[in-house]
Amino acid sequence: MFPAYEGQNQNSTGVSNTQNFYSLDANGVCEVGQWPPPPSETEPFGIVAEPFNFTVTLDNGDLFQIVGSLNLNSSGECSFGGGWPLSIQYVGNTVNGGANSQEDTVPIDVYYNVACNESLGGTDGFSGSFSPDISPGSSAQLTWMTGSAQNSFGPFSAPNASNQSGSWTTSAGGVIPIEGSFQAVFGAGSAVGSYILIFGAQAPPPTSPKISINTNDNCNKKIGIDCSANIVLADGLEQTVLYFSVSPPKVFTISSTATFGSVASVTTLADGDGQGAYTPGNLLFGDTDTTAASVTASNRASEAATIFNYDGFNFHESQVSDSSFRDVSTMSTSEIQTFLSDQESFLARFIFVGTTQGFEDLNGNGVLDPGEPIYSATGKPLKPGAKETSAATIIHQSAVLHKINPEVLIATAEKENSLVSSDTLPSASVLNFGMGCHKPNTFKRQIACAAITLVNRFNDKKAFGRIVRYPFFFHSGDGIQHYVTDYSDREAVGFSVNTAATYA
Amino acid sequence: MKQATVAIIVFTLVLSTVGGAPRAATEHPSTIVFNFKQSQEHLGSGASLSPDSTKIVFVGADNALHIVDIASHQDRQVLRSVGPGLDVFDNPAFSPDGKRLVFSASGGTKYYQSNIYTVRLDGTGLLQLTRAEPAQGESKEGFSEYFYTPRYSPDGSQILAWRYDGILGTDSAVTMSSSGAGLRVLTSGQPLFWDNAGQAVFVARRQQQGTIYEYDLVSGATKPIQGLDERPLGRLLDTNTFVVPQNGQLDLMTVEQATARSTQMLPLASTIPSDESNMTLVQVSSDQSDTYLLLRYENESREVLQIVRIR
Repeated sequence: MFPAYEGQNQNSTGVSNTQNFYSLDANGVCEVGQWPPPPSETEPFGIVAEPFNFTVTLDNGDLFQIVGSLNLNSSGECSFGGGWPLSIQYVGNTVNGGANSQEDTVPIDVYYNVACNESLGGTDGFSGSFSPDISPGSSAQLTWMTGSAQNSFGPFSAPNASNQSGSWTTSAGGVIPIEGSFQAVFGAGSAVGSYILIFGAQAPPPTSPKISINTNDNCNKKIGIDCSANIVLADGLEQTVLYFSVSPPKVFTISSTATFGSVASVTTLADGDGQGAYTPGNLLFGDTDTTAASVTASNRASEAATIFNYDGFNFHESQVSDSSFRDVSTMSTSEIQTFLSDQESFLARFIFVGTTQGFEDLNGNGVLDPGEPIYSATGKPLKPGAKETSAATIIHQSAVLHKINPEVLIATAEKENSLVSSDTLPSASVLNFGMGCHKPNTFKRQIACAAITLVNRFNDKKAFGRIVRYPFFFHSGDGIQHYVTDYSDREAVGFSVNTAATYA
Repeated sequence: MKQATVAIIVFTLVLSTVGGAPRAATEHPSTIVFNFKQSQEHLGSGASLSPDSTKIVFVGADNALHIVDIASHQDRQVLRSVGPGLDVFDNPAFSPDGKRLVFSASGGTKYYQSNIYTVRLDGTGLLQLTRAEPAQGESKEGFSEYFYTPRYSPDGSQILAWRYDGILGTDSAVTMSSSGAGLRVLTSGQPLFWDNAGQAVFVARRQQQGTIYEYDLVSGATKPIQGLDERPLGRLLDTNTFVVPQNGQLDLMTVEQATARSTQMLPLASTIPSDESNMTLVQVSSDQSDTYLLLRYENESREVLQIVRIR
C-alpha cells in the first residue's frame, strides 16, 4: 500500500501537538474539521485517525455515499505519514430511485496543516481502484500541493487501477500546508452501488442492502410519535406513514410498489432509516370487501409491509356522534316496533317470556299458540298461552335503563348476527349469544349486556394501560383483529379513532 | 370507583314443611348475615363461599375480584384488570383447601378470548389454564372456543369448566388438571357441579329440554336425573343435594342413583324476587350444624348477594 503522504525532517524541534489540524471538504462543503485547519504543533503526536461517513447530493439528484478516515501519524519530530482511505459510492438518484448515474464529478479536498521547524522532504502519491460495475467513462485524479511543491496523478480511467508516487521538498520550516485535491468522475450509466476506492479503502457494503418496510402498527415512539396506523379508509384520500430501514445502514433511495394504492420513493438517511407515505387505492363504498396492500421495494429485495384498506363501512369513525350515542329519545317503543316491522324482522314478532324464553308470535295475538316457533335459552319447554313483552319493549327498556341510543342497540344486533334482517326465528344457540356479549346466556341478557358494554366502552378512561384520549390509537399489539377479504384470516391491526362513539 | 353498599339485615326465616319430605318440618332461625347491593354497570358476576364459610369471593362494582370476610365485613381487592382480555371476571370459586381462586376472565365480548385462570387469595401467582384459539375461516369472527364457569373437584386436583364452541354454538363439559394440563372434553352440555365423590359431573343439556345428566368420569356413561325438572342453582358442598327454584321457594333435592328427591323446602320468598328465574346462582355451604346459603339474584339494574345462615 502506498501511503498518501509521508515526510521526514532530520533536525526537527518538537513542541506539543494540537488536534484538528486537518480537514476534508466534499463538493464545496466542509465535512471534517474546519477549512482551513489550524496548524499542528511540532511535537510528535502519535497516531490520529478520524472516520467519516456522509453523503453528497449533486445538483442533478445523483447521490453518493462517502465513507473513510483521515489518518496521520507522527512517530518522531517532524516525521509523519498518513493517508485518507475512502470509498465513494453511487447510491441512486433522489428523484428517480434506482436509476443509473448521470455524468458526475465529485470533488474531495483534504488539508493537513503540519508544523515543523526544519525543511521537509518526502514522497506523495495515489492509489485507487474502480468497482467492476462502474461505467467505463469513470476516472479519478489527484493533485498534491505541499508548500509550493505540486505533484499530479492521473486522471486514471476505469477499469484500470493506479499506484503512483512522486517526491517533493520544502525550502523552509514552519507551518506547511499539505493539500490533496481529488476528483472522482462517475461516467454516465454507472450502476447503483458502483464505487471508487482510494488509498486502500475497503469496498462499501454490498450493493443489495436488505430493506425492511414497516407500518407503525405498534405505535413505537422510537419509530415515530405520530402513530400512523396500518389500516386506512380506501377512499384514496387518507395516507399512512411507512418506515423504511436499510441494513447495513446507508443512504439508499428506495422505489416501492404497492399491490393496492401507491407509495412514494424514499431516500434513507446515513443511519439507514427513512419515512414515506402510502396512499390507498379506491374501493366502492358499500362494498364490504377489504383489501390488503403489500408494499415492497422495487429496486431491491425487501420485506413487505402490509396495509389494510376498508371501505365497506367507515371503520374509522362511527356515523353516530358522541351526543347521539347517549340519546335515548331517538326512538320510542312504537317506533322501534315500526322499524322492525318495516325490516320484516322476526324481532317485530318476537315476544319475551321471563328471562330465558320467548316465541315468534306469527298470528300477532300476543300469546303462544301451538306451532309457533319457541325460543328457550335452557331448553326448558314453553307452554302454550305464555305471553309477556315484545322485543321492541325490551330493546327500549334497556336503552332507557342504560342511557344509550336504541338505534345503537339495533345496529349492534344486526352487526353481530344479522338479527334485524333475519325474518325467521334464529336458533337458541344464536340468540343466546345474539349480541356477541360476554358469554352465551339468554337473549334478554344479551341485549342488556350489549347496552352495558357499549356504555362502559363509551366511558372508558383507560384502555390497554393507556389513557383514553381522542384520537386514540389502537396498537396492533392490542390484538384488535379484523377479517381481510381473500387474506389469510383476520389480522391484528393498528388504527385510530376520533370519538368515544367510535371507540365504543 | 363506585362504592358498594354493604348492610347487615337480621331477621328470621321459617322453614316450612314439604309434603312427604323425609326431613321433619321444624322451624329454624335463619339470619341474613351479609347483604350486598350494587348497580350493575359491569359484566362480571358471580360469587362463592369459602370452604369454611368464613369468606366470600365476588366480582365487585369496580369489576375486580374481591374477598370479604363475613364476620368482620372487611373487603379487599384480589385482582383487577390484569390486561386486555382479562378485565371481565366471572364465576370465581375457592379451591377446596381455600388457598386459591379459580375464575374465568374475558374482554367482555366475543371478540376477546374467555379463559380459565387461578390465583392465590392475595392476588399473586396468576395462572392461565386455557388458551382459546381464534376462529378459522372466512365467515367466522371471534374465537373457536370460550371457557367459562370453572369449579374445582372435591379433592382440588381437577377443574371442571364449560367450553362453548364459538363456531358450532354448542356446549361441552371439560376437565383439566389444576395446572391446566390434560384438557379433556367429557360430554355435551353445560357443566353444573361435581358430584360429592368427584367421580361424576352434572351437566344440563339445552338440546334435550334442559334435562340434567350425570356423567360418570370412570365409565363415560351418561344418565338423566329423574325428578329434576329445573336447572339447579347450587349444591350443598358435602352432599349431592341441589338447590332448585320452586315457586318462589328453594327446594333442596338430594340425588341418589340418578333420582332427585325433595328433602327440604326453604320459603325464602321474602328475600327473593317474585320472578325467581332472575336468580342466577346459589352457592350452598355447611359448617357443622349451620347451613350457609349464598344467594345471588339480579335484574337489569342491580345485583344482590345474600348469605343466609340457617341453624
